Amino acid sequence: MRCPRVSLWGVLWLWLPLAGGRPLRPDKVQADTRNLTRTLSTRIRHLQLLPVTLRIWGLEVGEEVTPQTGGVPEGGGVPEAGLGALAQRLPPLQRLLGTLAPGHPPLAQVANDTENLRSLLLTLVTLLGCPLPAVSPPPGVPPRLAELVAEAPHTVAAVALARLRDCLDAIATRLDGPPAC
Amino acid sequence: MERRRSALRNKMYQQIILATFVLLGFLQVADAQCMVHQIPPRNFTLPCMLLNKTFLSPFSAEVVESWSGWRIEHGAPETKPPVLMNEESFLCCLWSDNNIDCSLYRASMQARKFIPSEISISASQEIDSNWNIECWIKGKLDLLVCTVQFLKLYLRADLKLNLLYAASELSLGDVSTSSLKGTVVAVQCDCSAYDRCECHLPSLGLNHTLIMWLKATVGGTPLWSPVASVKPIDIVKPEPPLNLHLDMTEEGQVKICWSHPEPMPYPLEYEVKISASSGQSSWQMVHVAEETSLAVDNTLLDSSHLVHVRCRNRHGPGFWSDWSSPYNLSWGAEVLYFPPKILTSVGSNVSFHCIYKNKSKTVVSKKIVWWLNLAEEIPESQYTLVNDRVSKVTLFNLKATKPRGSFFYNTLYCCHQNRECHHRYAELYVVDVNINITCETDGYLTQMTCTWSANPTTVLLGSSLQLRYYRSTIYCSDVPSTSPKSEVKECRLQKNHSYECTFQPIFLLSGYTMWIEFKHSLGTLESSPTCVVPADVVKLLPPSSVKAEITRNVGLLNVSWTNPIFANDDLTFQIRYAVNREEITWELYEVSNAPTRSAVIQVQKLCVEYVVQVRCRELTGAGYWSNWSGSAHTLVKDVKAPLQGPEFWRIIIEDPARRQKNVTLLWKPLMQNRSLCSVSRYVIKHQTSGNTTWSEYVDNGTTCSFPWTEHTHAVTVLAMNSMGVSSINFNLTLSQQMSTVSAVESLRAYLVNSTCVLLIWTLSPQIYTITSFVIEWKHLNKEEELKWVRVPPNISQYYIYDHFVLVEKYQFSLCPVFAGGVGKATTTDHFTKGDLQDLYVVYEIAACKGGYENENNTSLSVVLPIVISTSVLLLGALLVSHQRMKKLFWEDVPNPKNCSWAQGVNFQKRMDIL
Repeated sequence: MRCPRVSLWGVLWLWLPLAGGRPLRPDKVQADTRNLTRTLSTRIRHLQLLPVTLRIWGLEVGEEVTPQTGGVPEGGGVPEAGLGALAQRLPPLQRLLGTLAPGHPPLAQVANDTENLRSLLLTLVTLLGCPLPAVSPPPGVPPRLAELVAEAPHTVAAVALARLRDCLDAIATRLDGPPAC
Repeated sequence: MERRRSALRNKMYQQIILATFVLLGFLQVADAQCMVHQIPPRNFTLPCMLLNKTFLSPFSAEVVESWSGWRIEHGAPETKPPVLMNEESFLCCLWSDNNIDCSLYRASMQARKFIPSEISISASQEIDSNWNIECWIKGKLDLLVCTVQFLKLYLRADLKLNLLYAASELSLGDVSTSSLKGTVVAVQCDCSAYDRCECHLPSLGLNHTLIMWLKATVGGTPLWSPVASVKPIDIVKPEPPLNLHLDMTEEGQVKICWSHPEPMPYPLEYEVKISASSGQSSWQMVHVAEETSLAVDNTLLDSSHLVHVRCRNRHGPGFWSDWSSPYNLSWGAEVLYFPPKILTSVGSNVSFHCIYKNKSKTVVSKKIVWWLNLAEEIPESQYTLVNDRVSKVTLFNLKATKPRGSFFYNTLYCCHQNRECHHRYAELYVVDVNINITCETDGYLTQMTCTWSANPTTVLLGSSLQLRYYRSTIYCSDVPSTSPKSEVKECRLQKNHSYECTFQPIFLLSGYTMWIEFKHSLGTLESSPTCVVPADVVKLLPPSSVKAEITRNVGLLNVSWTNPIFANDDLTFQIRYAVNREEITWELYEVSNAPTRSAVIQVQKLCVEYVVQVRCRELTGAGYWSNWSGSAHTLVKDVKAPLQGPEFWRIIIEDPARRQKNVTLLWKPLMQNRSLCSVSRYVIKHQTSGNTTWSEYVDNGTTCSFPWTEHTHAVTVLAMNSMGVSSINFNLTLSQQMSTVSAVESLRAYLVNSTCVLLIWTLSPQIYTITSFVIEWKHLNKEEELKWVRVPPNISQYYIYDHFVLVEKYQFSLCPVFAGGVGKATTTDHFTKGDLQDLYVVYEIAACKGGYENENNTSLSVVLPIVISTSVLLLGALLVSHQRMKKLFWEDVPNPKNCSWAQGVNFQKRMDIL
């Protein structure tokens, strides 16, 4: 059952940039992805919400807070994963940042960059012929997390940015070498 | 019998009870409802009833005295606004085909429902009279008008009529008598006309329910109408259609067109009446149309026909409007263009069609010619004969319309080939929508600002421009295209008439496809869409922490900086540098991909302060140059040891008493370009004939004195800075022996002007080699310092520049300097006069501007021929002038030899007469 979904994703993301007939080169997409990753890292650094050295509790909302589903996991880095899997970790963070964005233009910009980064990653994954993630991330922000955002936006922003930075580090490591999945 | 009577009585009682119950039930039902007459979109009749008769109605038992708080105000003039009623009552009626029962309902009574009646009220009821009524909403939808006509005209005498109404947002089924409480308004009707009154109600919601009734007073007797109701939208009488005109289709089909009236609350249907105008047979055709045009037969155009149009609600009830003003087909058919107006963009091709009728006779299409702006006949090659009546012209690759006075369009005239044109024309608007949109992303990569400007001369009056855009997920397509899913971006008008639109936040790698939409009543034009990826148009922040210094020993300008934030590593840089002075002249140096964030630039001047700025952009060439960074300034430091020691001279003062000579050395401060860049001290090295050497240092000043005791005393002056001492230095040997050697035979000083003196000297034969001369001069009447200059040994004249006064005394000395020591000085203390020829002085004055001159100066070769030729010309002119003067003042003496009487006379021989 997964194979058709994977190929559908592949076709979609391959044709999205190619719709206008521009031949996309993997090295160009990789360079843009690398640059955007650095830009995002710089932005996060300048937001001065990090590092979160304290252990934050109260954000445990079960499965909602895992990186894969859009939550804010507590502590720990992002395990090594392929570009496709890394791309799949971005939408929840992007949605979370988007929820935080009203009234916080820098966070809105980070959310936009995250969306662009995910698109680039998926395009790159498609161009390289890498396996695409099988499971689409659920839309929206989990209800409990929405409550947390309303209750403690600063904490959620800091933790979300920390998660995003970990993800960016993993992406940067993947992109430093020659094009690879 | 008694039982039968009793049974009959019981039965009668039962029937009475039953009848009473039935009657009570009927009364209850009747009491709970009031029938309402539905006002139709046409005239209708309502009965009017005397109040006392209504009390005779079976419902009169329930009549209560009055609704408290209701009050009617009569006598309000028709023009005055309606008055809210505080106390009123109305007839509550129930009717059937052959009966009508009414009672006066008052506010204090139990609420009753209004029910619409499907039966018209018959005028044959027992009533006093009838009112013939017509109500409609005027076309502007701001006024409801009711006309009331009395069928019994005797009632006209002393009549006062009021129309009472209440409006509700509810439908009639939901409205009851209680909802009228406090909402009833009365207007007094205008009964100045003979047979009718006219009542005006102000604007009401078209979909509201209007409950209304009439109350008239005739000679103090009140007359009432039953309650009627209407939804205003059902009785709208639109304004008649407007702007009737003829138009034609591309195929040459003629159609009559009109505009719908405004406001238009619903779709309209139209009725078109075409009739022969007076003088012809009076026939007429009526067509129904749903659009605002109707094709007409071309044959109708050749004779005079009138067209009228009227309209009404297409799908619901309503009145027909009045007929429009008549339109004469023959007038409008003289010339027809299709389309009559065109709005298009620069570079496009357009076509116009035309039917031309010359004095009621249609001109065949092959005889039609086209003119542009009444000035330029369009070539026949651009014509197409669509059919025998329709001509088409096509204009190619159009240029923007230039406003001519107040005309913002080109005019196209369809004319007869005999150069006769109708005054009507087609209008062509060509707008330049080639609007360039340029975008720039800020250095923080958070906003993209796009600017665009439209040529104000090509923007039409009443048009508007707006930027539309849509965003692709990532990147742009190769061929950007417009999309209906676009959004309008708000832009701000700038002082320079350009527009500025800001996107923030942005999607750095998304493609923003943008174009300008030009909107005009004639249509919409779009500029070519352009797609921008914000990451490709970044104007980076300028480099920071710029530092600059001149490298020691090698004289290089070393510049370093820090790359801006949010910049990639692959950048190209431009460095501009200049000597820091009032008028800065920048020099540019480019650096591609500088991973060290530094550059080294070779510079000519080492001992000056440089100002340096750096800017950067993407190495790929994408985006824009950043602004220039802040300025960095170099410090002036010694870069090398002085290149040369100073020139110096000596003054010898003899002390006869002590039989000693004191020598004072004078030198000129070393210039920066020789000292590189400063002199910290001077070193004077002495060497005497006894081979004794020593040095002394002068930190401040440019003189040094010492006693001259030996036969020869050699001196060298060195310049010293933080990098070392000068390597090339001047020497001077003071020799007792050489000081008596004279080398100059003569020395003359010529005062050329107050700032220049020419020294000319001749040398005597000698055996020593002269290495240089030193010229000294001083003002004898003033205690001034001795001035001196070292000159080369191969010249024999020198121009001294100073301030000289003719009447003052100056002393000039010329000292030959030999390798073995300074020779004897030759001195003169006066200026030579008269020896210098005028010609030579002219030449010398010219040369005075240039210091000492070489012998092979070429100026003389230019000036001398000019002076000589001028002199020759002057001489010739003088000779000619002399001859002419001689002839003028001295008459010719005749030659006696030419006289007849003197023939044969020898004038050489003496002839004594006496």
